[in-house]
Order: sequence, then C-alpha cells, then structure tokens
Amino acid sequence: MSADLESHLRAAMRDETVRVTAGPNLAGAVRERFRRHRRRRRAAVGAAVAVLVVVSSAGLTLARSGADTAEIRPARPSPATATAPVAVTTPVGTPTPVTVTTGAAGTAFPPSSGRDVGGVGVTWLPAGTSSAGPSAAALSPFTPGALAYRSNFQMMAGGRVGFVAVTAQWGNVPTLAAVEDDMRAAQPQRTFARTTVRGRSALLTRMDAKEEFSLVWIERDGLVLSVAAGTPASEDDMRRVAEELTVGSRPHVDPTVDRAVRAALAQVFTGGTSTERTLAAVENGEQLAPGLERYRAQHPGLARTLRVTVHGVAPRDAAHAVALISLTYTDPTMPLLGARGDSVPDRDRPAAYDALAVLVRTGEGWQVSRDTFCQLSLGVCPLATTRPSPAAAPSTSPPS
Amino acid sequence: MQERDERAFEEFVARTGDRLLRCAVLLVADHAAAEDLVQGALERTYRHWPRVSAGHPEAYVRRALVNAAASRWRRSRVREVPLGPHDQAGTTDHADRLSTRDELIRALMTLPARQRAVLVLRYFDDLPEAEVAAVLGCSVGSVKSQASRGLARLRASVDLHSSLPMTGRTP
Repeated sequence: MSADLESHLRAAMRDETVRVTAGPNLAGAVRERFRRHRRRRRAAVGAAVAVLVVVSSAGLTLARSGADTAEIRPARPSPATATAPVAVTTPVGTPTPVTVTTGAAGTAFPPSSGRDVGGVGVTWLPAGTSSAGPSAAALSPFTPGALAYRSNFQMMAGGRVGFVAVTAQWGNVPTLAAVEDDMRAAQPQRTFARTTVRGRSALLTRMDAKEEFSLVWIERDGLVLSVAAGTPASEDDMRRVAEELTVGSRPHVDPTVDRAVRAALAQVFTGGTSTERTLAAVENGEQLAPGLERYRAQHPGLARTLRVTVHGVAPRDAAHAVALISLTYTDPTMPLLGARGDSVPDRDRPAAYDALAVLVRTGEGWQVSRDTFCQLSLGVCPLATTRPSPAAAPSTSPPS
Repeated sequence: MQERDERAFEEFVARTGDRLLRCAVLLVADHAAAEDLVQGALERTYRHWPRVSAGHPEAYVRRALVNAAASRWRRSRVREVPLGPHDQAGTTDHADRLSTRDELIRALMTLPARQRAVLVLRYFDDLPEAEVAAVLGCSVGSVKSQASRGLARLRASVDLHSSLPMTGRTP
C-alpha cells in the first residue's frame, strides 16, 4: 500500500538535506570539544576534592551567600557564637561548586544563579553541584497549560553525572492525588509512595531504571513544588534540598513588558495580519517574507483563523521573556503537530497547541524570537538554512 | 589515543560526517542543534574509539544520535489540546498546496521521536530493519510497527489524494 509513499518520503528527505554538509574540520571540532569537556571534568573533580578536604579537615560545611564567593560556616553553629565567613575563591574558568546551606527565609538570589526558581530560593545543594544555567520558564509538569519555573543543577562523582532539579508552579494547582494520577499515566514505570516534606504530605516517586527520584508537594494554596534528583545525588540530598527551600513571593512581571510581549505575540500569531506587519514583530523577520507568504498560501485556513491566547509571561532576563501560549486554528491542510500516541485526530476540527514562546527585546522593541517563530511555523524557515548567518543570529534558543 | 587511532577516527569522520549530519537534521529539524548532536555523538565515539572502532562505529554514533534527539524532543515538545467539535472548517485550495515532498518533510517533523527515527533510519539511511532495531535497541517487530504507524500518520497528515493511493489508511 505504501510503496509510493515510501519512495516519496525517501526522495523528500534526500532533497531536504542535499545541501547539508558537515564542514572540513568536524574531526578537529570533536577533538577540541572532547578536550574542553575533559578539562571541565577534571576541574570539577578537583574542586569537589578540594571541598571535601576542607570539609573533612575542619568539620565545616560550605555555605554560600548570594555573591560569587563561597563562605565557610560551622555546620551547626552554637547559638551563642558567631563565626566570621571565610571567603573561598575558585579557580578562574572552573565550574563553581555551588554548595549552600542555611539560607535565611526570603533570601533573594539573582535569577542568573539558577537558585531563584520563580520566587523559591534554593539554599542548599550537595557538594560539587554547579548550576546548569539560570532558572527558566517551562511547561508545568503538574497542570496542563500552566507555566512553571525550573532550575537544573549538575554534579559529577565517580565518573557519573547527577542532577538536582527544582520546579515551582504558581497559580491554580491541582490536588496531590491529581498530580499522582497524571504522573502515573505518563510514566507507568515510575513508583509512588507517600511521605512528608516540610510538614506537608508529599509524593515520593522513583524511576529505578534511571536511578532518579522526586518529591512533589503542595507548599500552600497556589504553589506546587517539586525537587527531583538523579544519582550520584542521593534521596537524602534531595530531601535536604526540599527541606531548605525558602519560599518568597510570586515573581512580578513589569506590566509594560507584559503588555509589549502580549502585543508582539498577537501581532505574529493572529490570522489576517499582513506579512509585513507579522514579520515586524519577529526577530530578523524580514528575511522570512517569501517563506511566510508561501506558507499562508498553502494553508489558507490557518492564515485566516489563527489565534493566540497568552496564558502567562515570565521574564528571563532584561532582554528575554518567555510566554506560555496556545495557538488555535482550523485548517485541514496542516500536519498534525504534536499529536500524542499513534492516533490520528480529525484534521477538520479546530486544533490547539500549547507552546512556550521566547521573546527578545531588540532595537525594534519586544519581538518573537526567530527560533520560536520557525519552530511554530514549520516550513517557513527551510531546514537546511535554519543555521543563522552571523548578522542574523537569533539571540535565543527555546527553553527546555 | 595513538596516532594510528587518531588517523582512523579522522577517516571515519570524513567518510560519515555528511551522512550523520543529514540524518541528525532530519531527526531534530534544526541545523545548529543537529551539528551539536553530531559533535556530541562523535565525542562519545572518540572517547571510546579503541573499543568502538573494533565493532561498528557508525551504528554506535547513530544510536547516540537517536537517543540524544529523543531526549531533546522530550524536553521541547509542544502538546496538543483537543478542542470542541468542528465549527469552522477551512477551505482547501489544492492548487496552492505545498508539493507532496515539502508536506512530507513537515509531517515527518511532527512525528514522535521514535517513529521519526525509524523512518529516517529506514528510508533515508536505507538501513535494513534488523539494523534499525539494533540502533534503537528494540525488536524488529517494534521497528515494523513503528514504521507502519509512522507511515500511516504521514499519509493521514499529508494530502496525498492527488498523487498517492489512499487504500489501507490506518485510522
């Protein structure tokens, strides 16, 4: 039945990639990457060993303030004594071991540290842990269509890479039982038990095959929190990270930014908007006019009916923001983006997709990042030319 | 690594680099991400080259590529939310449609990572089903069923009325 389809598919894939070449020095690039990573691994191990030596010899635990230096304090100081912090500097160019204890409630961490997770402070992490980057907005794993904040931290021990991930979701949150039902449905191999965290009922989940585990609990009305970890981080480590979180307030979004972001999204993702006006709100969008016009001609239903709903906006930094959006349209000519499982939904029905959009502040104001636009308008930007030229380099990548 | 191994690795990369990058582009639909995946997979290969080169290094790299692409897909996928019943079906202008090939590529990019990988390995790299199964770490039967479902979804997603027979469509 499908010989023709197979031959069309084969030819289509070859046509699409015929201009893709690896470049003359791929082996050299790989070798250099290997050496760079090896240097980092050695530096991380060295830093971890140094930390262990300091800790074991002095009976101290590292503490770290919001600054870039770490402080050493007694692990359990006498209430009657105060110990002056001792600065420990880390070698330039090496990953900073972010090992933190006893942060005061309400401590504010800069988002770039990764330790502010949407108003929730991470005040303790296992020794040798480093931030994998600033906290990021993400699709909530707990509530479909909701925005969550997440920070990832990495560690290496015994040649193995572990992680700690902290997730916070504000707003309407489900019950713990509903979270468990959703997680069971999505990951049948995960096991569940009930436990207590911070004096609250919590889910303790395990994915034995991957040696990963997580805690999920409702911190208070309107806030669900999760801490996940993978070996060599231990369950005890995970529990201590959870116990020592500090809960602040929901992140504030500047109303001016919020309005500008929503306006840019509406300008780009509303059917009937002219090509010129649409691309005026896309980062380096002017180059995409021919592709967008062709795309709209091929999908007239989408071009006419596309609508966007913005569920939430989260600032990432001064020049970037992330928005959780739903796109809706009716167009039977559209491929079925993101359909789950193997079912084939009815293409004549209205379709809607949740997605995270990255916006960037440029000289033109807030614009939808080129990466986001190209990913949500598959076909406008040819695959083989997605790699940007230096002049048109997208300034963002989509949040993970 | 000994010089002989270094030379062998370079020859291997020169021989397979284009093919691997093209495969990666089809797996992740993004040139920059594809380059990163290929470099990551080759880095792992380089690290274990003396052992890997004794077997089938290209299969090893492909497996690393497919796994990395699947991880990336899980992290970034968008989710479909079914809405209510049909209320305003759009009209279709057949004359203005994309060519079948363009539509196929776009539809391919919307498949789940596993199905897409099966189709890319099977029809782009022309690997036999047994080799696809070895790369993916699954059974030949699983490869067959994933390929069948992937093709069915491509057929359902792409308007092939004018160019392909519609018999045997899988709902």
